[in-house]
Amino acid sequence: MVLEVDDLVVRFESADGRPITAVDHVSLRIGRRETLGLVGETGCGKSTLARAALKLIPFDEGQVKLLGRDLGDLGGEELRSVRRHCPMIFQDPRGSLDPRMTVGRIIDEPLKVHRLGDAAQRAAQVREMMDLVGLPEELHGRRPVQLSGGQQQRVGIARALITRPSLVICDEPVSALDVSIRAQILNLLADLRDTLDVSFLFIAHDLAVVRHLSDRVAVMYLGRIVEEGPVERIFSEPRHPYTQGLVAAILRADNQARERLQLVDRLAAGDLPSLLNPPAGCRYNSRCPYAVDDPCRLIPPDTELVGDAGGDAAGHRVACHLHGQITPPSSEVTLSESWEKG
Amino acid sequence: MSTPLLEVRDLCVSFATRDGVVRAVDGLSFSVDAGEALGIVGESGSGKTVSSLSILRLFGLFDDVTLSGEILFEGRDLLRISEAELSRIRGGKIGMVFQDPLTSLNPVMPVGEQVAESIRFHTGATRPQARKRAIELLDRVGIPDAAKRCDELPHSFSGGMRQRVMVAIAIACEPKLLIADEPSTALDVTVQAQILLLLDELRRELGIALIMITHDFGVVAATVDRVLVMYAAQPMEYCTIEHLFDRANHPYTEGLLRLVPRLDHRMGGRLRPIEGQPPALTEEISGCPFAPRCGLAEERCHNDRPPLVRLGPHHESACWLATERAARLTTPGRPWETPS
Ligand SMILES: Nc1ncnc2c1ncn2[C@@H]1O[C@H](COP(=O)(O)OP(=O)(O)OP(=O)(O)O)[C@@H](O)[C@H]1O
Ligand SMILES: Nc1ncnc2c1ncn2[C@@H]1O[C@H](COP(=O)(O)OP(=O)(O)OP(=O)(O)O)[C@@H](O)[C@H]1O
Ligand SMILES: [Mg+2]
Ligand SMILES: [Mg+2]
Repeated sequence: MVLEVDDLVVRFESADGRPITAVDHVSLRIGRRETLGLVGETGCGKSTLARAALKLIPFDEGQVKLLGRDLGDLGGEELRSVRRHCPMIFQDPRGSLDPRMTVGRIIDEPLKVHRLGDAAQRAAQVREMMDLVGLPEELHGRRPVQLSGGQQQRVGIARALITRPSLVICDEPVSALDVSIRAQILNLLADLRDTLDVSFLFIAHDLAVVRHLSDRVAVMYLGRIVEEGPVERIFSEPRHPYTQGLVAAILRADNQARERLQLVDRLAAGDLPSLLNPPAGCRYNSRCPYAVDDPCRLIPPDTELVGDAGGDAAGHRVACHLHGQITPPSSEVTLSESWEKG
Repeated sequence: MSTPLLEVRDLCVSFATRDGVVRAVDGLSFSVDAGEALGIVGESGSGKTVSSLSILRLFGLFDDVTLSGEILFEGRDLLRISEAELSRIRGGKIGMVFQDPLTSLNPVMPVGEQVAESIRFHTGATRPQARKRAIELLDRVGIPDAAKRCDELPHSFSGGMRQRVMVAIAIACEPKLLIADEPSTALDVTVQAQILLLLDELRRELGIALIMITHDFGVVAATVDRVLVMYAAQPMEYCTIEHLFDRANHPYTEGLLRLVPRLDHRMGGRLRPIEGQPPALTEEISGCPFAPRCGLAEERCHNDRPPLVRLGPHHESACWLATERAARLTTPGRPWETPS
């Protein structure tokens, strides 16, 4: 295993001193050459989980093993050397680039810090990496503020990939890219996986992209993983009502998109829950169309395996009291039917 | 015909850098009527953000910028009014949602205060009034527990929550025009739908015009009336949303649409990006900037810049083959759905 996260808990404090449990007993595993997609609502704790997995922020409970090393007791030099193999592509590309450094220096920095190669070799590697992520040569001497949003994002990607890492944690790595550059980057990530056995934790809101790249997908809701499984299972047979809504809610690029937006909005009806005051019982109950008082509003659901243990469904797990009882028509079907009628 | 709310004429923007002059926007014209929504899509680095920043003259302190053309807003040329006048318009009659939500928020000021500050500056509301209104707005853009969380600093908000705060600031003073640069990239699909519907609602209720910059064709399809496609600092195509999906004319537009991901099936194996690289903006581009990557390019495409050919009341394409291609494409078809 490249990354093993067990029962991880990360808490923050709100402005008025109340605890916010942003990551609440989360467990995940990523194997060599494996890509785990992580999806979930805005603010549900994805970035926090990713940062804690690299111990970029402290965690309160649980265990993280990165490349077999327990991060709990690791510090200083040792921690840095493990991290070298596990870079992160940050969600906020501009904020994560040093404004005083040029593009060339930013991408070179990890090589320099870890003393990989002499100046000439590094310069050649930087140029090659810029080309691979589609950054034109002319940007080499520019500073981050002189770049477009997508160019900044690609600098972050180049910096992360240049050390030939084992695991890359990607937080919305392609959100600011046009579809053509995006395709180029997704190909690049797939190549790295195939040739260098790189693993990825891939956080994205764009489910088409997640589907393309991931082997498995984990769905997070208010700090917890509510469903996880092989990618095709999650998209074709989502078991958790939240996942079902998510899969149904994709905006498609066509002339019916407006009608679709209304449908999506109805799906997300109900109070916006808050981490400050999460609903008792199952956290999704305030928005779940199937929730019943007992047990949904009383007892938090356990995570259970669904489907056969082997085969396509291997490791498909879901945290829903009703997962065996609700047989909603695949929400994707409901939506497309209703728009065909309308 | 009434005058449009915003009319941009032949806008050119360039930056002097150490390595030469970067032409970030080269001959852009478009207009937006009150209550109308225009989408700007296109290549990363093609000048979408720079064009919108030009409208409000929001450049960095150290940028060496040259601007030419006209930006007429309610009949006045924004390029020619004073900084003081423009600062009343910024955040007042024209609201803006920036592409990078973290760096555009003040890291040491509570988010509620940032919304309230703009309200006070533009409307002269009192502190408590502005605070109350700020909380309403934060609530409206879907910040849970807005009354409590408004006292927090931006760093304790997730990426998507910061983006929603930006939307709240932008709509705080009920602008006439809202420029949204990738307003929903960091949002999950349901919150995205809520924000897009909110923008749509504001447009219908208050007649706010919208300029929506995005890479997401799903967002474009759901929110805008007309679309401008940009490539290498230049406009390539301009059309209604219906035309975009049914009879895209420019080969670049077509190339983009072919890559729009579809969820109904797994995009198999390797993706096929448009081959080649965009031209360097520091060099003179003589012909069509897309010609080196265009499968249909002829000699004139490499030598002469194509004019914007008018194909209909709301359809223009900067391609030497525009008329010819339009004749072939009048039967509605969806180019990106044909298997490649
Ligand atoms: N430093 C902090 N202090 C207090 N609260 C925080 C802090 N960082 C994050 N949070 C809170 O933790 C929750 C999870 O945030 P996180 O950034 O992990 O969300 P996310 O899933 O990445 O969302 P998005 O998709 O919008 O990026 C949010 O409610 C956020 O407000
Ligand atoms: N301050 C600056 N100095 C020099 N060049 C700049 C500056 N700002 C932007 N540029 C260049 O101008 C071009 C247009 O940038 P712009 O930010 O408008 O692109 P964009 O279309 O918004 O791209 P994206 O989709 O990636 O955000 C880019 O090639 C960029 O490198
Ligand atoms: Mg995040
Ligand atoms: Mg931009």
